[in-house]
Amino acid sequence: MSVFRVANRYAAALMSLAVEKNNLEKFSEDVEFIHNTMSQSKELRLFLSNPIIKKPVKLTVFKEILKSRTNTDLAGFVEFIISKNREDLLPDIIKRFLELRDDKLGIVRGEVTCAVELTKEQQINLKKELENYTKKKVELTFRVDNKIIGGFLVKAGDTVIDASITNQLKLLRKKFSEQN
Amino acid sequence: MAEVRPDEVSAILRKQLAGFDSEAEIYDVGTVLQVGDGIARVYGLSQVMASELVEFPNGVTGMVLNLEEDNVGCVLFGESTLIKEGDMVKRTKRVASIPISNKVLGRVINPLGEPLDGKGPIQAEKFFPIERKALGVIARQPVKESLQTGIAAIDAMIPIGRGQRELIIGDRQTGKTAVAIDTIINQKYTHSEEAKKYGIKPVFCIYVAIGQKNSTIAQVVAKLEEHGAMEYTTVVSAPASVPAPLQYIAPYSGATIGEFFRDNGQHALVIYDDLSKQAAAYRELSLLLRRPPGREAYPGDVFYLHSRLLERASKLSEEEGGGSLTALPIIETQQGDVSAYIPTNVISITDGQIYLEPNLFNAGVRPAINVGISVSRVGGNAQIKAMRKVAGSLKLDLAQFRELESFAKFGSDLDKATQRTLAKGARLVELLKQGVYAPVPVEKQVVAVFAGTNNYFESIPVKDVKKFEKEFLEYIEVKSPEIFESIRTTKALDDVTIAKIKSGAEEFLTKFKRSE
Repeated sequence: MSVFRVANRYAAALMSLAVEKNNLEKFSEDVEFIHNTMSQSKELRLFLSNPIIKKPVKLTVFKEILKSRTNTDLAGFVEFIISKNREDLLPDIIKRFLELRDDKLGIVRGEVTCAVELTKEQQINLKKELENYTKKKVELTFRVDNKIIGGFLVKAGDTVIDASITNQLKLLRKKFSEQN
Repeated sequence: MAEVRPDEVSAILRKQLAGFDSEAEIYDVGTVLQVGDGIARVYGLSQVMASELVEFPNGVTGMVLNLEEDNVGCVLFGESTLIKEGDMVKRTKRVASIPISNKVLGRVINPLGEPLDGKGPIQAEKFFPIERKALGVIARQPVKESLQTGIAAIDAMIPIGRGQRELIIGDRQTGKTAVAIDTIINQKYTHSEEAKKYGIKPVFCIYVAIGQKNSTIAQVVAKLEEHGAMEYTTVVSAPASVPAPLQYIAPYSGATIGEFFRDNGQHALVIYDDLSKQAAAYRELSLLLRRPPGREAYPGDVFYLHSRLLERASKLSEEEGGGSLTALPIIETQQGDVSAYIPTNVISITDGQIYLEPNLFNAGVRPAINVGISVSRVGGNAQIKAMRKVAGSLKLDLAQFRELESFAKFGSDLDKATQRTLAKGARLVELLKQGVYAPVPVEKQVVAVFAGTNNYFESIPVKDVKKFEKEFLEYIEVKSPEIFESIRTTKALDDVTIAKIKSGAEEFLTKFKRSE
């Protein structure tokens, strides 16, 4: 079965648990914590997906990681996943959970690429404009890439708003070649 | 070369730039997850439509066929080696479509409407989707006008009407394409001033070549040009060398071009040469998209593949303009096996079929049409009155001949009546033989068949039948051209004309010189 279907099923279950407990904020905070830990540590990812390592060992390690967190439901969820031999899907489940949460809260995540660093004021203005455009809450991360020469490029989900000079030049070239 | 001053250059550039607006472009993208065998799996593109065109890097385009939960399956119209994992895919927000205008006539194009003949771009303002739903009952009317193929055997016994779907089926090398090309060439008459006078509307032709050799397509185009038939014909070329997805969409593109003429109240004829190859191309990409295989490994919707294509052939009602789209699909059988999957499917969809047989072909009966099992379910409505009148007895005579044919080896042991039937049948078969690219106008067919069924060939040896026919028709042309004229204008065979043909034939019989 496709990874997506399985991950989606588990993530949806976790989501409904969080909603039921009326504690979505805490849940997502903790999930993000696991997400960050895992994305920082390659060893942890390899450890999780290694089939030779026995379940109890994996469980102990996760208990140790989640010790600082008080959320017992989440710890129980992770334990359940390990007991079901789905621990290699944990990163996918977490990713899907965060997507579902964004959907629920109406948050759009976007990446802005600029040729130069934007000032705080410009960042806030851009965010406001995008919120007007999408009618949703927008959270942006900023990146500097001088390959686009000038202007900016926003990628939010599958949609790209391309106001970069590189793209303008590309369009110009296309227009000229079409006329001849 | 004329000298260009630098200030002129900048003026030209400024003019070009004036129309360029620098607004931000908004588009949807996805990422290639996996690519190979002409298929790409794409992550993202969440808003994409089924059968939408998408753009890959390096100028490769593709079409979305599978919409799955977390990815999109695309077929590629270009080289899959130019695309790699992680490449960006852009939506075009345009369902697969081709630009069409009257300018496509006389051109050779690919299934996406791009010219292949080096005659420059084709001017067209509008794009038409290649997949369209066939018209319903209200928009249609029964087939009633004839589409002359110029092949006597077909026009007399298996008549094709405008708006009909008639299958041409047979093994390889039995002259299937020749029948189709003859039909296209014969439409030249409908574009003449003379035809206009008699109220015959022009028929525009589309020849869709699927999975053929490039050299064969070039030959067909050359033949059409040689006979002046390219002026009203478009060739849609998807040779064996292009990726399977292009071969798969080629017939739909052809149908869309035909519909363009039909919807403008004109008449169109589209030939799909051949649909077996298209089904094979569709099977290839279906299997690559991991759709479950069925009988002969074709996917489950291979019937729908052909039915939705052939359903688009139609005769429009007068309110809709009265245009028509006739379809002549071609199917190649293996060793005469018409009970294979694709042949049975297409036979059941079409309004009749023309069987071509290698035995007949090798015996010198060309076109090698087996008139015994060939049928046209539209029937007499698609014939002019005159032809209907003479064709009835022709069919009967040939049926009797076939029944007794196996006794022919007993020769003189047979009774007189049987011998006569056999002799007449042999002469009629000979009469229906015809060269390639030599279509015969309907009035001549009528006179020749009339002479044949009324025993004027009885005294002529079989080997002289063709010679007799040719000279007889020439004789009529010179002596009493009013016979042809009358059939052309009234489209019927009145008693006066019949009497004239009879007296003409009797006169000519006395003058005919047999070959030594």
